[in-house]
Amino acid sequence: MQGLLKAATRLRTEFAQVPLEVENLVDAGGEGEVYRVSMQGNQYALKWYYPETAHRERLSALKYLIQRGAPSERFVWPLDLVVSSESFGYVMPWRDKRFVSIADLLKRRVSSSFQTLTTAGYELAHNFYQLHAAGLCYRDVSLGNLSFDPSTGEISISDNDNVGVNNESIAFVGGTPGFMAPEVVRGDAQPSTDTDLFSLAVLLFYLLAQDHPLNGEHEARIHAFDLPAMKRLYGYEPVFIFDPNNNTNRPVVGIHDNAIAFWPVYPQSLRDLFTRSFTDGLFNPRRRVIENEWRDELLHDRDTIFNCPQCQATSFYDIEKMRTSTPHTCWHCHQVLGVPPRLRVGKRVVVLTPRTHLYLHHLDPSRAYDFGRPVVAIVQHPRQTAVLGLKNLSQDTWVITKADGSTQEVPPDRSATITDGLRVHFGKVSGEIRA
Amino acid sequence: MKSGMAIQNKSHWVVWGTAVRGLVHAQRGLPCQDAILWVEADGESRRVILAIADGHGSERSPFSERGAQIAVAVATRTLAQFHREAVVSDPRNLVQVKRTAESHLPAVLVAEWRKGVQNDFARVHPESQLREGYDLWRQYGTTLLAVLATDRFILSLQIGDGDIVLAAEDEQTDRAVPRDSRLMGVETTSISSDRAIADFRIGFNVVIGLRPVLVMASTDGYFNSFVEEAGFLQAAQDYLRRLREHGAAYLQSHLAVWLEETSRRGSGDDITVGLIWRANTVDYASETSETEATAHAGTLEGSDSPADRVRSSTT
Repeated sequence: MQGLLKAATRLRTEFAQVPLEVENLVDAGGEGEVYRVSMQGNQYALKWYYPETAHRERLSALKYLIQRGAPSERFVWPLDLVVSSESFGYVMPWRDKRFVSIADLLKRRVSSSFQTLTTAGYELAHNFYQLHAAGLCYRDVSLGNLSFDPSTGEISISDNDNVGVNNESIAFVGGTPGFMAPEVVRGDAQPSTDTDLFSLAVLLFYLLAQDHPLNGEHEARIHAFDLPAMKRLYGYEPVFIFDPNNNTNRPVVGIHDNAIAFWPVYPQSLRDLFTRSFTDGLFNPRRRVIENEWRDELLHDRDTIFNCPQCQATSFYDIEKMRTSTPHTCWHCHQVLGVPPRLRVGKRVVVLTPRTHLYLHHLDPSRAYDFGRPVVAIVQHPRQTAVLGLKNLSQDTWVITKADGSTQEVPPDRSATITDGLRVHFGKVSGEIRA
Repeated sequence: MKSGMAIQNKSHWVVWGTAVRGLVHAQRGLPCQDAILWVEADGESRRVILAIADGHGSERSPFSERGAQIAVAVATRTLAQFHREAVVSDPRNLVQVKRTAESHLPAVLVAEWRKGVQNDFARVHPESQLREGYDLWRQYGTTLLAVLATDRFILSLQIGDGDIVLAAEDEQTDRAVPRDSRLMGVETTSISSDRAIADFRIGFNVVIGLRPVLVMASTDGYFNSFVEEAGFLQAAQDYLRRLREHGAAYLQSHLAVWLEETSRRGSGDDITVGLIWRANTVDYASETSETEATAHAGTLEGSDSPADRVRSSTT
């Protein structure tokens, strides 16, 4: 159906004065409509506000965001304003079709590996860090505003027109029910970076456990549409479904099956962060998990994925299980799993499988979160496939120290056989293998 | 034939619809397993609510006719509560209304429907040990399509096949809820499934000017009677034209006959069509009488009279 703007309507951007042509309406929401437009031969999206939502404060906020620029390329950020006599809107990049919403994941329209999900989780935390470090807050986290590439985990953050300066600018939205921090639900606080942290934790829980962290028995008892009951659930009496000290709101079989299935699969360290987020962090914003903690945990989790030799399902190496001598078992076929070789570099542990790659992030303390080019690959012996080696993809020569104390150089493009007790000096850091 | 009385919502939306038994169902001696229910404005409110459902009718779902009736009752009641609690208090905040609907309504509809099914089964089969769970729910399996129309927006919810179409003043039509690519075969998503909450699809369309002026909700027996999608979408415009040319009473008196003929020539399935249209764009007032009723459910009457002349322009 035609929207407020007719196809072939010609408009011009305010700042760059570039002409654009409306192609078609692609979506409509509560604030306005989104069109596909062509501008200088390229496709962009144009969000066009309904006249009643196109007010001066909104225009002023958009100008600020456009002039300020995106905190990272993952934000589908306003690029330029478009103004007419009836309303206004903004041009933003056209999002690639490979991105799907987290809602599609929950509806099982797409499937993703743990590798992808932990990557998407890391990217979410990393980009929220970029946003918050710039003094901005998102204020509008919802399943529909975050998309990811189900094959790589790359994320895309849309609907950025509600981003504002933390604790300063007007919030045009209160947030989405279920994602709002309890103090916002109660009306005690405005959306801020503190409340963003709560929303981020909910989103990560949705991404990884594919259920809501507060939806358990309490939610199941709410039948009719009952806003006061929902405010109790998310604002006044929230209880984490896996709260170790409060079992009144456990997930219900038949309703919250995803949470029941996924929760035990994840390492204890990740579950601990969720537990803190949704116990202490419910009422004390200072106890909420910050972006850095999520980043480090999710990267650690991604580094510890390995496959069941029997059914190929992926599991996480859990150091807590090693500490307590609890065997790893496959969540899918329930076979007891032997743990693959691991490389410990500083505080990091990386499980070594034929698909493992290490990056400067792992081997250069000054290049944290640099995943640009792999510097270590795991290779299989050409004849004895059970024998794995560390292949040097970097420009540096490594020095390895074997268990018997002998040393050897590993120049670029050469490999070192993975054995228990092998120490590798990568140049800036050293690591040790347990096999 | 299932039908109800038209309700005139004084200044804006009028709602009407009917459900007819398909030829195949009649030949097999099966009842119409569709259900339709609507609710008019309650005093000061100017919203209307429409719900239709298509019971699966398979061997696995022997009580799907009841499942469909429970579904439309739950949907109209829930949307009325939603309007009262989430819309009336802050009608201008459409973003919040949309998000509250998306966040909560599927879970509430599924939970309420299950409760209704449990009560129904316990009443009819007090001796049975079966009290809840998928073994029970799938016996009542049904689709559900529900629409809440207000001055500001059209909220549409759907699980399973069927269609909700919006028609604008300028004769453009569009789907209120995008088609689900998984529903192209015989199988449909269902309110009885374990994934029902996730499988709900929601459309939210802000009312701007004369867009839309008519909403058409129909069970899949209607869509399946058309050769092409374009012809199906055109049907919504045809209803609009008829309302303008002949008035609401004409549509109300002929709709069931048209649908029976459509089923006979087309899918052979039960067909239910519910229509909501803008009172101020269609000159019907002289032909419809106001009613004090607040809700109408269809009752089985039975009719086989064809309406050849009309069907050719609605298909």
